[in-house]
Amino acid sequence: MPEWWLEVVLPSTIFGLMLILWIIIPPKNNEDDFGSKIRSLIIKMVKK
Amino acid sequence: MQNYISSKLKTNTNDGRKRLIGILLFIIILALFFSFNRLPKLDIVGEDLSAVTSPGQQCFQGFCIEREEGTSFISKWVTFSTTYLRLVTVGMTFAFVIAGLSEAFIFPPNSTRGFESGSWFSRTIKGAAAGPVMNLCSACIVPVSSAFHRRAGVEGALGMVQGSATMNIPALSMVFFVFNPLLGLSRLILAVVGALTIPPLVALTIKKEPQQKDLIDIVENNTILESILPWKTIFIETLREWSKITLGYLTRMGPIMIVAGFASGLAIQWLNPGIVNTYLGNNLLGLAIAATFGILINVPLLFEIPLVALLLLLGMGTAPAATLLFTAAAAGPVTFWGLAGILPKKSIASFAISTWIIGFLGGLIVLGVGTILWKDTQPLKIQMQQSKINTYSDITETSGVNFTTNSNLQNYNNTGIVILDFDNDSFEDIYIINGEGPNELFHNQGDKSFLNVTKSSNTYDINALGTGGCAADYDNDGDEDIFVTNQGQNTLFKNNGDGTFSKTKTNILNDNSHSIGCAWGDINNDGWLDLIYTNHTNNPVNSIKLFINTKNNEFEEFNSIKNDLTNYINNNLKILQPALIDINSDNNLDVVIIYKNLNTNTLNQLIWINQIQTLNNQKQINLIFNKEFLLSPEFDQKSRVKKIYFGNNIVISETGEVNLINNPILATFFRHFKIGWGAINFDYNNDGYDDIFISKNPPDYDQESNNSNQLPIQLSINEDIEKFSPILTENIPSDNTQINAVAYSDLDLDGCLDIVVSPYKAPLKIFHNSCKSQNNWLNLKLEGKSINKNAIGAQIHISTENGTQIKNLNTNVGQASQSSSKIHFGLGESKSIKSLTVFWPNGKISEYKNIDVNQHLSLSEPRE
Repeated sequence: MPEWWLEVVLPSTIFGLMLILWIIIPPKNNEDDFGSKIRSLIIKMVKK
Repeated sequence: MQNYISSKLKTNTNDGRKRLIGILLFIIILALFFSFNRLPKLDIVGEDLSAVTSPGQQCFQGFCIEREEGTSFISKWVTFSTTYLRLVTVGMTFAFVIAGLSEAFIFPPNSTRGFESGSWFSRTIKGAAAGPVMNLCSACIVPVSSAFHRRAGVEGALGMVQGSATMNIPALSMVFFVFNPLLGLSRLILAVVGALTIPPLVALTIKKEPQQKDLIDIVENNTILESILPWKTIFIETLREWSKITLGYLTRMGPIMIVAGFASGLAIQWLNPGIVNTYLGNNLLGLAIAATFGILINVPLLFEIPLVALLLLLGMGTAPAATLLFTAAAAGPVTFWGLAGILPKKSIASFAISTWIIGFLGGLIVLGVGTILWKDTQPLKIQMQQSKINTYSDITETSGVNFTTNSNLQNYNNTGIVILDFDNDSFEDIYIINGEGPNELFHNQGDKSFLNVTKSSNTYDINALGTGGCAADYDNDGDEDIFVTNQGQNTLFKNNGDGTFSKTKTNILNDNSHSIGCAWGDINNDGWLDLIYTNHTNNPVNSIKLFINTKNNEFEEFNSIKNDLTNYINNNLKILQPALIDINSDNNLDVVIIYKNLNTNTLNQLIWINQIQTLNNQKQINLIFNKEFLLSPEFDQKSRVKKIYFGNNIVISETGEVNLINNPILATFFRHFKIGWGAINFDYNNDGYDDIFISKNPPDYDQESNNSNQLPIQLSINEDIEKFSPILTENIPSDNTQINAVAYSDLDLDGCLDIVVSPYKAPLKIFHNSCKSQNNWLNLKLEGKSINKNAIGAQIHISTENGTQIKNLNTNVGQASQSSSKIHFGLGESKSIKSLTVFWPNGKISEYKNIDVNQHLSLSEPRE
């Protein structure tokens, strides 16, 4: 395993997970942020 | 009880529940962070410090001062910057995550609890106390302090930045470990002063913030109106907030961190000893520059320590070191940029200025105190070890030696070096044999400079294809003569005693073979030096030539080993360098021949033990072939200096245990030596243990086996009898030059051995030993009276409080070369030599008591 694997894997995993959480958890007050926009887009694509 | 806890933690409110979840998450993440990053990071800092303080080469996060030539500026910059970014990545990730956690869970926008706002002093103290818990660099802590700012204002946010970056326990511990008490104490005091004064000073410069009380009133009213949500709902909702805020920090601050990393890397590239000495001295300018430099760079947590250590070793003054140690940690461009998101620009300027001023004043105090305390103290504790390490510098350019070798290695025409004192002025001179071109003789002027006296001394051999050489007083007229091995007829330069030489005609020159190496030694103990040399030839009988000196410039070939040669030598063995050494301490020189086995591609030695017999009152040589002698377990073990015969480069000294194969470390060297050419053993740091220098092998050597491996120039330190330290290439300025031959001598009589190397088709190089070692030494020059004048074959025992050392006087060290004919003892910390005994080749013994150390001593063979 290369020396730098931790520096790449750890932030990627954490921030990736947070991005997923931001998208999949519905906003509390119908907030119009980036996460909710992506979420709406995905829902629309799935419904089609 | 449950109600009490519930009321204290306010879990009957949504914010209280968020806070409790947030604190639990914070504890878990902090524990993981410390386990997997902060504690291992101490090792990384330690490695950086080791690199910084390694002899001759100082490195900081992948950037090495005096890096070997060929590394481009861009390469150095990228290496440093990427290393920097790697070091801060995990810390920054932690910071973004904790900042998001703080904003979402612990201090939500409508929070009513947390740290009490209190007075400016109270807020400063809370920030300064919370900072060290976070343990992040000044840039990394910014996101967290931004969240903290909501409840603790400017003072709390800046207190947290200062506390985290400058008052963390690992940094404070390490500064006392690395630096002297003055620097360590100044760092501690500046950290405390900075954390307590900078936040209120900055707050004073900006407009009054919205009253914390007002905020609380607003949110308390909101709290009363809100309904209490279930734990699960609160957790999931806030989890989303946490993710959103964390990613917001990542997108805002991540790119600037990358830019800052490369910008800091760029700034570091201009560091070199000249700049450091000029601009970072113990004066006001040095303090101002150190304070400014510290403000302009961001360093990962703790890495201000190796950075300052590096600059100290490059010549920075102690006072600017104190300044930089604080300012580099306290703030930097990324810190300012991050704080600009929550604070007015005016406050950022006042933050930078106040940090600069405190750093400057701290350095000023250290400057004042230091003038009283500094006399004998080193700013860097590790430097105490550093100062004991000898390093080598290339003095070729200033030495006046301007000689480029020309050789054809496919024909094994290497360019040997002969160290000799041809004019008996005590300063040893250099004779260089050229593979294809005239040889040259350089007279040592005694001041590290040399004069080319080739023409005046008549020592050039203009049409010869030189290989190697050896010098000794073969005619016992009191000065050293030179025998040169050539591809073709060899040459014997007889020293006329007036600085000139004459080519002598003798019967040893009746050989037109391709000779390789030679050695002088009195093998029959008649007081006249005999000669052995080797030939590249398909005729085994002609591969080793031993000539007995019959006086009057005549020699008689010794033929009795020819049966052994016929039986053992074949086309698969390439004969290389000979040596005449008393390997069994019986006062008789034995014959050692290094050869290369072309089948196995290994080097080994042929040994003939010399058992002189007396017949009819005449001594007669009786050479007993004993190939396996060196592996004999019962070999004399009285010396603490190992006897090592390596590769074609032999020598290495003296009596002692020789079971190398069972020593894994030495066995490794043994393997290496099979492709190295020049190798010498000598005590380079005067610690009492012989070290090994191996030169990079020539490019087309080992062509028979297609082995294209090339060794670097390397010096291996023998720290004690059982341990050779890892190879330290940095002790020798290295480049890509392949070396044919190498020799050592104390050229300037400073008590430390210098190195001369003969590169492949490149200029000859002279490496001067810095002699910084505090170790003691003794250098002996022996003179024979009834025996050979050079006393070759004498054995010297010295006894000090640290034990006994034994050395033999033998000059043939390294392929085709000859090193100093003086005997050099490193004595470590021994203050005197209890006894010194010389066992002369003719059996006489001279004993001396209580000899002073650190002197060049001439000893003559006693008449009786």
